[in-house]
Amino acid sequence: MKPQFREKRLILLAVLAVLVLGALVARLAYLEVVQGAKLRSLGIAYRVRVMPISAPRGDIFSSGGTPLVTNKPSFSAEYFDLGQPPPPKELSQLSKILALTPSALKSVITAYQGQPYIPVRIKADLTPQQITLLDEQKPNLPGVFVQAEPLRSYPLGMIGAHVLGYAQDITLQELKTWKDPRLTADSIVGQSGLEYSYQKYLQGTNGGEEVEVDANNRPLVVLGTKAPIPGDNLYLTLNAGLEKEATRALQADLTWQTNVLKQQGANSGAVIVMNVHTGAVLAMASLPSFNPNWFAKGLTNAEAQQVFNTSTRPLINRAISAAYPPGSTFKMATAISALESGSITPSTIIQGLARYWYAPFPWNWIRAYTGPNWLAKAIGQSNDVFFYEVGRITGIDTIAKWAKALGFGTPTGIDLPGEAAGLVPTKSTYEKQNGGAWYPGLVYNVAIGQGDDLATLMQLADYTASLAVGGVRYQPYLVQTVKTPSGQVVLQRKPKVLSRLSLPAADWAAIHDGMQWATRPGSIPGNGGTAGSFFSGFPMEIAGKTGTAQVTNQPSITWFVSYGPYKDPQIAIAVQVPGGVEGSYAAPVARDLYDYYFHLKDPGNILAPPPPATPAQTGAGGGPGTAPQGANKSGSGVTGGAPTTTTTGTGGTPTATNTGTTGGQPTPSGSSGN
Amino acid sequence: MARLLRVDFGLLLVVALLSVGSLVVIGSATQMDVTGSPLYYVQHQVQWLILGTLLMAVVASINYRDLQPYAHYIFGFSVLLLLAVLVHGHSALGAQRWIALGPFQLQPSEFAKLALVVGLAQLLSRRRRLTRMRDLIVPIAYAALPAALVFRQPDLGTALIFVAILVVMLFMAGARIWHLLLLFGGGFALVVLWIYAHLNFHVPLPLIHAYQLKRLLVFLNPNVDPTGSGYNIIQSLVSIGSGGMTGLGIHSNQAILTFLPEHATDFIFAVVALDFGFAGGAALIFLYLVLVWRGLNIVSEVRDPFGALLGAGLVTMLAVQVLMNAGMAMGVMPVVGVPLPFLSYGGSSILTDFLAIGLLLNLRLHPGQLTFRA
Repeated sequence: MKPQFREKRLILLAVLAVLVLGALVARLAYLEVVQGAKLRSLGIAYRVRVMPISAPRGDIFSSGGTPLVTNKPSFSAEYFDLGQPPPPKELSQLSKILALTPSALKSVITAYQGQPYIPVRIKADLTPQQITLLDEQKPNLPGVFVQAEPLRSYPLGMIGAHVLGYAQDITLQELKTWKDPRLTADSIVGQSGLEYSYQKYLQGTNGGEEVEVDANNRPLVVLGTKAPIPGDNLYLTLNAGLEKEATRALQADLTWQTNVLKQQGANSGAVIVMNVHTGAVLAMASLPSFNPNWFAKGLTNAEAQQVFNTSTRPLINRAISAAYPPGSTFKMATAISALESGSITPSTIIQGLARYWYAPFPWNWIRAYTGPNWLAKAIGQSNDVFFYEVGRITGIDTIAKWAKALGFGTPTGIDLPGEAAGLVPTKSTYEKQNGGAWYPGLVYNVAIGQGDDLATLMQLADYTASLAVGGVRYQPYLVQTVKTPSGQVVLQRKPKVLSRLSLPAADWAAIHDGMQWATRPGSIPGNGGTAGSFFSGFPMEIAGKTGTAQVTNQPSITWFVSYGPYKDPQIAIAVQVPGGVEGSYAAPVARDLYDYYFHLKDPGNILAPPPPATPAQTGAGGGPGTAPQGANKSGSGVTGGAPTTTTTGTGGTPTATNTGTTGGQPTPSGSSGN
Repeated sequence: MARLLRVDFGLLLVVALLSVGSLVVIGSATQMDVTGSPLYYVQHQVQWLILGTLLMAVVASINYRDLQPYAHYIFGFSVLLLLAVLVHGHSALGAQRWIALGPFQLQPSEFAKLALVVGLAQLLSRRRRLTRMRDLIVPIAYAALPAALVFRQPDLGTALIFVAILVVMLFMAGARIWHLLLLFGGGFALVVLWIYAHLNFHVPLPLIHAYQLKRLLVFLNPNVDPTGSGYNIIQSLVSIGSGGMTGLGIHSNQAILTFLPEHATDFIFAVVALDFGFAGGAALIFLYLVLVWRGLNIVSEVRDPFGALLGAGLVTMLAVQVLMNAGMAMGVMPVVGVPLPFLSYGGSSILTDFLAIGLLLNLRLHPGQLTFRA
């Protein structure tokens, strides 16, 4: 090998080395300069996490300041999707600690897959033991961390649940539909009630901690912190004491009807108390109820069964979502349409025969002659024949026009979700719904609130309240004020008039007199009213109206609407018991609530709570003991005093035609929410 | 003493700078790795550097020509060590590369690089001609033996270094360029074609597992498996890209380093770029260029073929490792796990690098007497 030759080859090698190492420098420059920004942000995505600090939702208070919904400190387990599915070992260990099935766990974790670095809550309200276990197993559970979080808390439990609603972990779908930038994958979001309708106020703005983590997801440095902003607080019109009492009294009435009167169908109901001068709802209860706290911590299987798979459907707010035929409570609407269209005057006399004289000759509920009837008496004793004739003279479309003016057929617009519209039948709705042609005989049913008539308890309460104050109908509402946590008023509710009816004073007097008559003790025929037996001895004059709507082969829908005091109306109370005995049997709930609200110390309150157990009184028996006594007394005091609507009687009677029209109706359903 | 003046101080300066740099970068990279002792790896590296310097001095002082009679024995011994690794070696990271030597984990493939250079230098310096294709058969077979053994570990990186050493030494020994291009360029093209055919037409691929192939080729597009085989490359690129022009400094972002695997060994170049940016990375490559230049300069002065081939092989060994290590950190070479000379943490590689420098110094210290040659 000649040195010359070697020299040449060495130069070639040197050139090669310069080229190769120069290429490395070029590549380095490309990475640092051209790709630098992109690579840096990719690095940040790998190691900077924003750990949200959950903002508590706003609190909800009663009118008297009682907390109805608050937050309590808790810890929940969250999962951080690291961009790949958790290994099966991790899943099985987690499911053991959290007492969740692996499949349930997996579905929670994978719900947000494809969007890594979003923490998802896998279990709320951890026990101290679970926290310890998760801590111990941390090295084996790289995606899991424990987060301090406010837990939604409903101190009254089942009481007021339908008004307050519940909130629950947001789903991916909800995250998209709410379009609220404050919501994140681990937010909880209102699902029903005020929690839903005031979601945008109650929702807080999460804070966050920007944390730099290492490859094992351990936080190294806190880069910055943003404090969470709690949601706004709601101050309701709801009276906490009255709400509790309404729930208790309604339950006592249902228990009495079921256990004592053996009315097995009386297993659900609703009651509304509202201010007749403003529309403010003071109490609203629906039974059976549910416990919103179950949703806050995550339903157990048993709780889910109870909430979702019970035939009485506890999640339904019957006060606003269940539309049923209003029965005889509708008669004031028929009366107003007849008076204002000039069909009758307050003194028009119609003979109270046992049956109507036109085909299909429907029965009067009492099936006896009650003498000459005028409007007040016909309302007080709920005379069906009187209203058949009034309906015939007035005509279906006139009745519909005035019923709509009184709020039937339209949701009241109360600040709750899921309110049903009900239905005011006209010729066209009849034909659309039933297929057959309208014929005049159908108006008799409509005139007494049956057939296609559908109304919610909310509509009936609002209508009754408007009757009490001479035709001013307010929009019912629950939220009086919305304030920020620092007390700044965000929303201040003022009463809103939905409609105003101006009727001659004499017409109002007749209607009011008729409604007061309904609570007058005495016999029918005679001077008594349909709910009289349940108001005997009551220290305040109350105006009311019973309703028992019959649907073929279905339990009756029973109602009692009222306002009081009669001379100076303050509040209206409406009660609904589908499957109850008769409308008047719902009246004790109203009596109890007037007693409670006006502090009347009514001695004849058959639903009164059991007196505090003292040794002397326990033997005499408490509430359950007094209820049957009251029932017996009222039952024997007025013979057949309660029924208020046409009786269908047994099949094959001439009333078959009448019931035939209702027979084709869709079954009143509690789920007609909108 | 006049001989001391023949020490290549330029080369020593480069090595010293690289060694000090290695301590700084390893210190920066590993300060969080061992809880409570941030200098754990630095202390060990210091020990290796001292030992390496001593070995370098010893190797530099013995006349390299005295090695010549033992060249094939040295080579043979290293092949035996490689066999021993395969028989009962210690495996880590899926490869069997270490054998226990008292308290130390010895990585024979590192020393095998030196042994191959020494053995080939001896073999090629004794061959009269290499201009015919068939003249190349024996040297290729010679190098193929250790290459096959490290490939079996599997350590593709070292096997490729062996190939590079072989090619450059054949080139320097006088083989025809077109022969080398045909054999090695053609061989490379054949391998690429075969892999292409395997991936597209399912032609069976011998010698290598599917997962190994995937790991090798993922550098072409790390995003096909960002959490698996592409992870290392992505994290290396992120670290390099985060350095910017001048880097983030040695107490730079520790979080980034936790994401970067093998940050004291295979991916130490990414740490250099993170801490010192483009400036630091380019300066480092420049130092290696100086090292290559000094090495080739020494080779140009050596008068005997054995010494010249020895020097060329050693320079090639170091330069190819720089190319492969920096290349894989920057995503232009497959991830094969080759240490960066003088920078990467690790005893075997540091000792090998210093032995190589010792031999290079030796070449200059012992110019020999040309006049005695017949």
